[in-house]
Amino acid sequence: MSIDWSAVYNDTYQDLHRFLNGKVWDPERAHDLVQETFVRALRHQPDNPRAWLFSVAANLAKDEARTAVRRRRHLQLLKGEAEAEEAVEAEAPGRLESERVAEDVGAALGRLSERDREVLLLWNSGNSYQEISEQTGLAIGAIGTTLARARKRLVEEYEGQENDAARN
Amino acid sequence: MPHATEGDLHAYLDGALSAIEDGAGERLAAHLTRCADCRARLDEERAIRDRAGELLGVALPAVEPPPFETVVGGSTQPRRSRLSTERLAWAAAVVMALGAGWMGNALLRGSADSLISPATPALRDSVIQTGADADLRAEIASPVGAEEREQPGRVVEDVVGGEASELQSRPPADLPAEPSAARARVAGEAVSTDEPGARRDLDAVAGTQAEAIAPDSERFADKAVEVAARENAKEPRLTESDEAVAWRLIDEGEATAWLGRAPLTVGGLVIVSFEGAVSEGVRVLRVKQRLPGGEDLVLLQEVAGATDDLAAGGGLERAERQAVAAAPVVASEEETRDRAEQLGQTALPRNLIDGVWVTLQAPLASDSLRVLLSHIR
Repeated sequence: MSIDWSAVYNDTYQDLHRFLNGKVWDPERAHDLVQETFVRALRHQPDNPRAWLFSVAANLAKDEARTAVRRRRHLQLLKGEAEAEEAVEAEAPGRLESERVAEDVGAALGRLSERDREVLLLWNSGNSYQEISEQTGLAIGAIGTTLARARKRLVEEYEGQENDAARN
Repeated sequence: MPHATEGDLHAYLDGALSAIEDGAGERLAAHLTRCADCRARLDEERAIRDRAGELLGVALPAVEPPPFETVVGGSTQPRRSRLSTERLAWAAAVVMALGAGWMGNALLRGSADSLISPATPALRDSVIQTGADADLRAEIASPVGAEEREQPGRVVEDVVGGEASELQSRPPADLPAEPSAARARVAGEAVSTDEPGARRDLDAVAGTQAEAIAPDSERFADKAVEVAARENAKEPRLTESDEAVAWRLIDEGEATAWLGRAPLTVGGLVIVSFEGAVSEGVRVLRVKQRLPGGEDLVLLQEVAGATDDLAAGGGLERAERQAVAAAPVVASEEETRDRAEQLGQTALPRNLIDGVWVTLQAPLASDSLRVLLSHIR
């Protein structure tokens, strides 16, 4: 029996988008990657579509991260460090509170270990402990501990930034 | 039952404890009725869990899926015409002012082959069909690559259509002063911007420039640069460090040693300089070559594998963390586009040639850059 990809899409788009957005931190780019994930999916008939989609998505995001790092480095080198730093520090006026929060959460998330961040993002994207275990290869008994540590660290890092900002 | 661990408490809050072990959830619930300490800890962990969920909820909001049909339409037709910030930074292309303007027009219309005219002795046709070319084609042909290839073209149209007239009256700020004389001379010779006229002039100028370009035996455009590079070679060599990027002029021998293999260059163009630097712990090489119009072509290179397979012990983790951390503060799209336009340059990023990642940058349309790309060896 072949997969009804349209139904799978409607069921999982939101979760995949949150997951990929958590990786690339760009909602539009995340949408592109979700599309790309499904385009690749349409060629296959996996036994477990959801798991398969998350696996593909994780790989795409990994490639993306490498490319982003290299692209950013070349961009900086071509345009001159001073210019690039200027852009990085420039604060757009009139930003919404939610944008600032999102930015700070992103920064805080970046300070977690790769594994902790992965597990947290998978949980946040509607995956069960069993699914997270299969996706990451971690023992299911270790997921709770990992989430405990990741959540604590996220909150600490975020609140830490807030305190720094308030002090300055 | 012993007191609950932090992990147990979170698993319990996540409703997953019984999934791990049959009945574990019920046992913990029973323990909590008897243990005030654990109840207090549960409250603490619940607060942390809620706060983390709240933060992630703001930062990663749920979005409505667009219709499934847009996906089936294929990855080469992106839903949006608006590109992400970084892609625009690469794809913004401007047909440049003055001297390069007429040539740019000719090149945009696909007469780029006349750029390397057989009539010009110093410009050799040096396309080498190797496996690397196949890799390059494969790289470009992959769905993501195809998407990127199409989009820069579209943005060229967008930008040129909207802003070309304004920009042609304003010379790019950071082209070196020296070639402006050459550009002025070239501009003076250009009779019109008609396509046939431009092509004729292009051939004529290419012939003139051939004499201005050094004969075959001299690869360097500027003897002084070559001498300076050799002088630098006597001093302590480039080393890796995490310091700010500082380009160091080097000679071809050191460039080969620095990159770990022969540098990529476009066949037939004289070399202006080799420069090495370290960025984020990665060795990068910057090769500059002189285009017939007098401007510089930059080839930014690094050996593949520099970031691609960083050891599991933290390297990629650090890079990924930085990418995530840096992402939220990338400049807005408008700022990036403005900067790219001011620079008046096109960049073709992320080309893998013969095991080297190379980014091309030059004041040419992206189509012309791709022609040059095919002449790399």
